[in-house]
Amino acid sequence: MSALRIAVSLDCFLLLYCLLSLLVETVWRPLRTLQVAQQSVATILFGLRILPVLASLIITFALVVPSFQLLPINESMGAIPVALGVCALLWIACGFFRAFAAQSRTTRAVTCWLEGARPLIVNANSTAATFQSRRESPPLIVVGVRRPRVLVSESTVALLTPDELRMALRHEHEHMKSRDNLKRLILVFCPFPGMARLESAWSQAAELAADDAAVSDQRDALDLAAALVKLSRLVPVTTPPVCSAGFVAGSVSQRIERLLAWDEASKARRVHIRTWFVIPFAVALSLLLTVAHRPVLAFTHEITEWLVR
Amino acid sequence: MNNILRLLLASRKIRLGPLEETILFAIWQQPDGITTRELRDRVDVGRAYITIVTTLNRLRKKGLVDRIAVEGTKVVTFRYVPRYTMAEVERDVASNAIRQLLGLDVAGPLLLSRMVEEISKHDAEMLDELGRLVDEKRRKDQSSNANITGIFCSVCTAPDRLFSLVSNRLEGCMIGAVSESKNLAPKVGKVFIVAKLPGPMVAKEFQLLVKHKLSKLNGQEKTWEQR
Repeated sequence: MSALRIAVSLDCFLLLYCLLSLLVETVWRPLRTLQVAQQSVATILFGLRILPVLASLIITFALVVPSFQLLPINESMGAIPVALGVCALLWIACGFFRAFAAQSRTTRAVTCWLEGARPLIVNANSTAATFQSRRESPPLIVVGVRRPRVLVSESTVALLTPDELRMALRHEHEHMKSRDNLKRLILVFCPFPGMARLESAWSQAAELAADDAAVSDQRDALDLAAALVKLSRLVPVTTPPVCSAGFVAGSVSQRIERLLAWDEASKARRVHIRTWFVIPFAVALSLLLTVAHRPVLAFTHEITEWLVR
Repeated sequence: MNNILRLLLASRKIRLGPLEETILFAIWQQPDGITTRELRDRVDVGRAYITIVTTLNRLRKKGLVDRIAVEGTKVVTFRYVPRYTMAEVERDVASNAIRQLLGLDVAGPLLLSRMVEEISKHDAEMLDELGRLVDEKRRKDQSSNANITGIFCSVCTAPDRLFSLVSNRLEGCMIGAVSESKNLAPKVGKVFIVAKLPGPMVAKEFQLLVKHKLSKLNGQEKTWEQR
């Protein structure tokens, strides 16, 4: 009985996830052209990417599971719900495995690159952990999820002027501030076919957002562009792990062209969409669900049984 | 861009008429979107409003453009945006080209290595061009910001000592000090260090130098004014 309940809940989660993912795949494209700051574009794209998994989890735990606790289950549903439930379990296990593998690959890479590395202090105000690696590491990279570190190769330090290095590090520190490595790990956890383009668009928006946040005047923009040109010439020695944000990433030519056309006035004009705007909607939805709890659960129960039958 | 457009259409097996092609090309040049009215005003399009609307609808059905509603004061207008960005189109075209190449009987390691060589050459040329643009912009920026006059106002125990420590340290700068007490060597007091600097880079260097020397003399930085 309870196994069937769990199976139906898992089915509902999987079906919702697939439906919402297909919906997101269809509607996300026009959002790239929103006239807002790149930081907001990146937030919206990432929000859309994780919306299917987040919404499916919330609906399953807030509605589907309680509905099967309160109301009796139709036992004549056959073997389909159980088979689908096994698929859902396999999908979840696969997500955990992918995330675990990505995390352990990252840890191994960090341990290797940090061997004999020494702390690098470029800016006294910066508190971020920055190391100059002696091993063959990527030119400049922020790596790790729980304790992200910025790693700079010896060739990068030799190649860039102090100002260019300062700007390149500031760009990486912006990736750290926006927890981009954690976001990459989350994306690894919830794969879906056809989402690669949305992920790639998010990745590019995150790069542009880090550029925008790092640059404060025309001179900074030129220093960052010069650092990008110089480091793009370096041949990568290793493939960076998933939980990392390299400095030379995304469309480099687009980034350099934007930096060359940098304008203080246009930066100030760009609209920022704050993430806390969603809080009132979430509170309103929770209140609505609390008030209409019983009828909503009954409706969910009916819909779920119809879906998995 | 026209060549890329043709390649994209060929790879997706889409046929376009001359007007459809012109309009799609015009939309591509405006990644933020373009309205029907703006399209009509373009010399290269030069067709009636209703013809453009019909063509745009056809392009939408073929999945090449999207439209976004913009709330106006009286009516709702639509902005047409390309469904695929330039980067996506480039990636698509490149993937198709490589797939076709690999499908050839002659495709072997030599062909692939030649391809990689050509791509590396193209990348290096593009980076050279971008590097040249950065250098050019830097030179322009320095020349337009030349001769910045900065006034550094500070309070320290030995302004005369600070002045002697700072002056003659930066090439091409004219640095002078003015004390509030009209005595250039007061024991404690406010001192204004006036510097004529050749550009913003030197201005930042100058600021750092003064800050460093001030910390040695137990002084406090007050203001930095750039004129």
